[in-house]
Amino acid sequence: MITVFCDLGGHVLLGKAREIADEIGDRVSALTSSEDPDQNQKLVYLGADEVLVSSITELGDWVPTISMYITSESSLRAIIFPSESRSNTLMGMIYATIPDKISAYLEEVTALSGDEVGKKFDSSVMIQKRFSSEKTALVSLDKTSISEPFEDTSRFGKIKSLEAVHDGNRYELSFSGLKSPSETLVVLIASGLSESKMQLADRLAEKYKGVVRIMSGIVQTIYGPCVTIDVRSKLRELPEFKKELISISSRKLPVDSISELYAVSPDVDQILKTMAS
Amino acid sequence: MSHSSKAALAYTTVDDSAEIVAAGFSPILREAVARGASSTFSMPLCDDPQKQQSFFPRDANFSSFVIGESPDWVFSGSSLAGVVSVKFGLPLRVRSNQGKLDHGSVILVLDSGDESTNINVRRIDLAFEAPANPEGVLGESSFRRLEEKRSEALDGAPDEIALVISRRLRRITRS
Repeated sequence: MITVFCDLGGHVLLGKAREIADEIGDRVSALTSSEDPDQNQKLVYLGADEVLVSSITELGDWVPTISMYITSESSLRAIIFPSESRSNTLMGMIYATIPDKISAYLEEVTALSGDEVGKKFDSSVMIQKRFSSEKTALVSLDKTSISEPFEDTSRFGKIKSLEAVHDGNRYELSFSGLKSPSETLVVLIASGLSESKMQLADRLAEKYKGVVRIMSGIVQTIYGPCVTIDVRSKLRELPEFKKELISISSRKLPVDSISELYAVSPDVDQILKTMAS
Repeated sequence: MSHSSKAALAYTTVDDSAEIVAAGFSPILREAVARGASSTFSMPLCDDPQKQQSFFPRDANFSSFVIGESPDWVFSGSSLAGVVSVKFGLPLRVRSNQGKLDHGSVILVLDSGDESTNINVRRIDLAFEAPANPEGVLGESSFRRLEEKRSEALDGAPDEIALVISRRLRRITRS
């Protein structure tokens, strides 16, 4: 069995879990706290053979409930979470609760198969961990590394309830509105950019719930995905980029050489206008 | 020392009265003292947060554990904070890199990536004297070399370029 944690936007991982389960002849279950029957039926259409609904009201309550689920399910190969700070913390708490039941633990996974998981450690190395048949792997999958799942309304699946477990401990997982920098888009602009370009950068950042930063020595590391606009700095002056980098500029620049994607166009304003609209 | 650990240390040193033990892999410990830690505790570097916490000092009565969110390592500070919170029975607090130190908790410090405070040059002698026992690296992970990534150039009309980048942005931000 492969289980997908569908809260915190994890439902998008069901397509990948389905693909792997089909390859190795396994089943997919979905964990959710949603009691909306339409939403739960949608999880079936996205690839779950069974949907387990638990009346969880606080994220931390998943810790004893999932720990008990792992303990009672003998054939559970892996639980897949969406990679973000809250779910990684949740995974850590579950791991600490039942360490002997866990085979492998890896976050921000970018490669997943039926018997191992891997993540890019830096731009040139992949770190891999193997599953074991007797224990369960805890894995958080980078949502941007997989394609969007599709809903197949001809799929059948069961919707069952999973009893919420309370072990007397309180597992606090409150991020009090703080958004992790690794999950925030940064629009990095050159200093001295025209007023119109700055306004467009603001609109672009707002559209993707990101932030605008002005290129200066203060910015040393950018953890989230980043779009640079006319940033002309030399490579050694640039911050360290931890996630995907896209460069837009009116002429070829050093940052282009380390970008995943770059566009050089005389009409940067028009590109930004279209993107921000 | 990772930027995130510097941010966690900067957050902790805001409290002048706090006695700060820098726990970690030996190569970073002397820098930690130069950045304000009172003493050091050497640990092996593990590829697993559960194993990593097993090397945390147990004999001292720590009022809080401060952990940076994004160390340059296999697991994140979020996972380690979750493990430590359960193992030491302390509530988890999440803080941006400003504010006062919460006692009696595990504090996960989010790192803005901005310039961290500089090394305190008056502490360099102290840093050289600090013990930093070399420890091993423990784990069961395997490594595979990846092909070198190439940058992809976009050309075409501005609207076409905007469309391609927008599609990419929607994917990488999942919005």
